[in-house]
Amino acid sequence: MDLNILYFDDEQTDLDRYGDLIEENSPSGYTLKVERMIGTALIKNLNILDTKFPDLILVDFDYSNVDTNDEVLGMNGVTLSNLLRQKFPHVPIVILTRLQIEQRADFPHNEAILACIDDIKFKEDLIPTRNSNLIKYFISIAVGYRKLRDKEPKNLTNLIELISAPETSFDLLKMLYPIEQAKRKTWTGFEAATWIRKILMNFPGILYNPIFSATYLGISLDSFQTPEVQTFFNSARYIGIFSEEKDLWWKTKIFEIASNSMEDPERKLPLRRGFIKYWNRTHSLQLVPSVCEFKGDSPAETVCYLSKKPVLLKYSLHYYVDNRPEVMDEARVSFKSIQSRDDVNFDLFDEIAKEIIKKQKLKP
Amino acid sequence: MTLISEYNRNLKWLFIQKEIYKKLHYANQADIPPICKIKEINGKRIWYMDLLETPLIFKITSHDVFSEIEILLKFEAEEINEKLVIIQYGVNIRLWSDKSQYCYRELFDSSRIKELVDQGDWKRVMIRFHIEKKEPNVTLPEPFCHLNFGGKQSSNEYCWIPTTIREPRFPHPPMDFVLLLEYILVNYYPNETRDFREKREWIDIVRFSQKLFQENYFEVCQSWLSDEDNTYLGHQCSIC
Repeated sequence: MDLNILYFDDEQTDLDRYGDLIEENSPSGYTLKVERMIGTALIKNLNILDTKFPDLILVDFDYSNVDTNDEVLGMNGVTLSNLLRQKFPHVPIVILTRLQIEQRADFPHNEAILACIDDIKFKEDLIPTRNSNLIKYFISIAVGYRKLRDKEPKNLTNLIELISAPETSFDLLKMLYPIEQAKRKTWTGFEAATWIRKILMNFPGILYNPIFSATYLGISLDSFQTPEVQTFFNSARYIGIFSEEKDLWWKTKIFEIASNSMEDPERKLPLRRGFIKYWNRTHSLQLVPSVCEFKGDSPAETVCYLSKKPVLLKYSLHYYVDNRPEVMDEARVSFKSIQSRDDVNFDLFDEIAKEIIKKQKLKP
Repeated sequence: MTLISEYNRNLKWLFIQKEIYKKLHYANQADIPPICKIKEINGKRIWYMDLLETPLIFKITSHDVFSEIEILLKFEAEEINEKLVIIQYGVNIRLWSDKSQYCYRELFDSSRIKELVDQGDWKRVMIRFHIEKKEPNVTLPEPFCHLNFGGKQSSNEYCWIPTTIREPRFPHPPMDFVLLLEYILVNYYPNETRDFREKREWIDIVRFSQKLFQENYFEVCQSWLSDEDNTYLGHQCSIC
């Protein structure tokens, strides 16, 4: 598959170096062609973009260098991305910059300002010895967007088809679908990709990563990752667009597969209790229950947002760390994390939780 | 933070939980959570709450018979040593059905009932009960705080239970809105609220209400159980 990448930078040496690294390290089956553009080229003729049909746009953040005509772009990569976003609503735009860039005073950390870009990635990760899988990511996002571009009409039904959602998740997906796009009855590639990547794949609730999947089933992560269990739940694995980015599983499908196999007494129990009983009764491989990281009780019911370890709901507190939709699982932080970690932000607990922290003497 | 502000904060927290507010509909009033108020009389701190005019109505979606549960609550209690001593207390609970086969039973009900429920959008109270504190100066023995069925109906209930039934009266601890809510979740939303009821925040809020409204009650009950000269019910009926 041929993928065209449009790469903007203010340094010809970077354009050449990283452009070459991308082209030379294309995995088999893919040919990545990088068209390199000095940012100032856009000053003279914005219409130059009319003839470009990229699958992916890479944009450097810093444009402080002058070009051969002593001209500077006069904007940073985020502003340039905004301009490009209007021109290319169906193409992924990724800031490709240097590692230290987020520490710079002029880097905008505001989510609203960064809203037009898909991701921020680092040039250094293109060096093959770093094994960062950055090129695989470029391919995943470019291919995913291409599928979105090709899909017609751009309605919710077709979007659900692109993510290969099981029927049992349709209702939740409809609740999650942005009202603006529902009213407009269409979506742009960027809107759809943002919804899939930043909401659906990002917050646990409809899709679960391995630790959430394991905890949902009441088993340890190691047990979940055994080949037998992975094969058993194979049809619950997320295989829709962008699936190369994360290992995710449909929650409703996990439930369906498990409960269809279980017998009535097991089915009447919560899944986290019934599944392990069923499995250990019928398989030679014995699964280990999920263990709460605070008290060691089993089965744990959720996963700590900070430690990513299973924890009982009664030994964790709601953490208002992001604006995830209501249908998603709430972020919770374990008592153990509250006691032992330095990265807990106490402003992100509500008053009830703060009182519990005080009563339980979790923090001096 | 005072005890009552802590209590009201708990109520507010509950009403922003999707597991609660999504089940509620407010028939008559604006979308505000119930609030407990305080008045000082002769240096006594009296808590009071009156939801008689603004009942809380929960939608029941997955029950064969019931469609709504309606709660009317009123109490007055004195705050003493971080607990409440009940002065006045009454809660009415009505379980409604909107299922036609229960609103009008062809074999048992008169055609007049059919006309009446038809006028009232096919809703009828299936069961009603109340928990109340014994009134002073009652002539017949009754437990200090008791639950019984039936009672005076409002005009559109058409409850199957005759209004004149006054007994049996079962001893029952007083329950505030939070403790009633736990009963509702356990009885009518057992599976879908299982995880919610496991949360530390919920457990602490319920325990806070237990301490406020029930700790005194159970301590006294416990002392009655060890009295060789009277029975538990005997004690219940003898105090006021």
